[in-house]
Amino acid sequence: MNRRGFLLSITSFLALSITLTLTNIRQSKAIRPPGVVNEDNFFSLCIRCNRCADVCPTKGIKPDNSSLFTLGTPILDGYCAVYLDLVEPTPSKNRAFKRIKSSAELCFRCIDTCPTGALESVDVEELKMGEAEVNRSLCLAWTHNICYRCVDICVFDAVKITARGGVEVNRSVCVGCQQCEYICPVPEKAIRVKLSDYTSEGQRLRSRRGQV
Amino acid sequence: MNLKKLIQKTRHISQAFFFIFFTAVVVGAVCSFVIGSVEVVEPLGALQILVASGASIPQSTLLVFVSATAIFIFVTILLGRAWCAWACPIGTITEFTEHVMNKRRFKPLVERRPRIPLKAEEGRIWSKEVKYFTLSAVIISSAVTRTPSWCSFCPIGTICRGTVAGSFVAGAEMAIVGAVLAANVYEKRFFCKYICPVAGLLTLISRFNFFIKPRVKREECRSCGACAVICPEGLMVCEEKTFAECTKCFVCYSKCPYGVISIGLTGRK
Repeated sequence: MNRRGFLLSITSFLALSITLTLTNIRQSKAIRPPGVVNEDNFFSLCIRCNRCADVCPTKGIKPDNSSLFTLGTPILDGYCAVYLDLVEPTPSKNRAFKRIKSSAELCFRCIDTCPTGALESVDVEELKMGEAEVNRSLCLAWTHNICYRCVDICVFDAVKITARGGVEVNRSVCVGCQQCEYICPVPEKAIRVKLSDYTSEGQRLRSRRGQV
Repeated sequence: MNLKKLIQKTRHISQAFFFIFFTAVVVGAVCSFVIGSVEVVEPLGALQILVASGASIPQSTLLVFVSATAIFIFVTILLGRAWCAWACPIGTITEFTEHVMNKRRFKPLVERRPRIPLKAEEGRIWSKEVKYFTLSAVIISSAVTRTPSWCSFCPIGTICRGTVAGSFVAGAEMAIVGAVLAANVYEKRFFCKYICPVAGLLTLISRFNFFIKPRVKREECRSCGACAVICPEGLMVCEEKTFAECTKCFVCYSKCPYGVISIGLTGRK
């Protein structure tokens, strides 16, 4: 290697390592697929192969495009079926499903296919992707006392009807599967899943001890 | 059709097959996929994860990596860098753009120069060792940021996940692939030759590859240096000793103006 080539190599080496380091600063507020227990562990293991996106029966997992660092990491941009029977959830189907829930087959295909263990196997009792929030000024239940599709569709019984006829989310039971957001008839989505303070700290697991 | 053309046709068919296979058919991407019950993980991804997660790596992941690395080393010793010329999706689309560029008289700048270089390295500012520097930069920044940091940039992965998940229009991803293709205007297969860390990793191991190498008939070779221009990797085939960079594309065999290059099953001349 001549001197010019050597200098160029060293410069490009430094430039590249600085660019890679600067662009890989951890910042993510995205809803992740099930199995992301710890955001830090997830980032150190995910090679962005998108096998989870390929096997997802609802096609809810998509590669992230929001920032250069998170480019290609899976985000939940649809809904998670959780159970194989709920791939196309409807209020009536889910209401009937609640009775056979304990014997139903879990999906978690993304966790099974992950080659690096970035998606860890979790118990459905511990699953937590985010928490649903109701926007009372948009929600038809709060404004007109109608609809209640989210109440029917939630197989975890996290959405409850209040005394005034509105709906409210029991945050400790909600897993953040986004089926309520999917079924919400309001175009701007009156019920939305967000990262709670608890999950945004990195830990995305809940303990449902003391809960039914 | 003679053998010289047939071998290139076969190669292009293989490239097209693997391009469709990796972008549309297989579950996953080049980074990681399953054939039957064999888990394949791309070695650079495995290496970055080993560096990034260190001791906290799950046991099952480690097992997958050990088998993947074993497969990778075995195939590389057997076939060298054949991956780059026969299967890699980025190699396929760069070669396709080159083909279009040549049709439209947009020959790469280096090839457009009037004189034929006497040494392979002559007239080139970039050095092929740059890809080892990229490789080490990737590994260092993976260790610092505790993230497989190349994966967010990797154009190979970008192509696979982009076409599968329908987010191919996403600006950032297109820009990366576009930059790789645009670099071809300067020199053919610029990215593969100088930057790609996967090629760096393959070259490190293909030093120990002893099979399927170009053979030159010394007495008939006129040392014209055309092979250095023809070769996608810029190798001076008639003077090359190790052929660690050789991608087994056989273009030198097909296009040598005097037809003195043949393919030998072993590396002996």
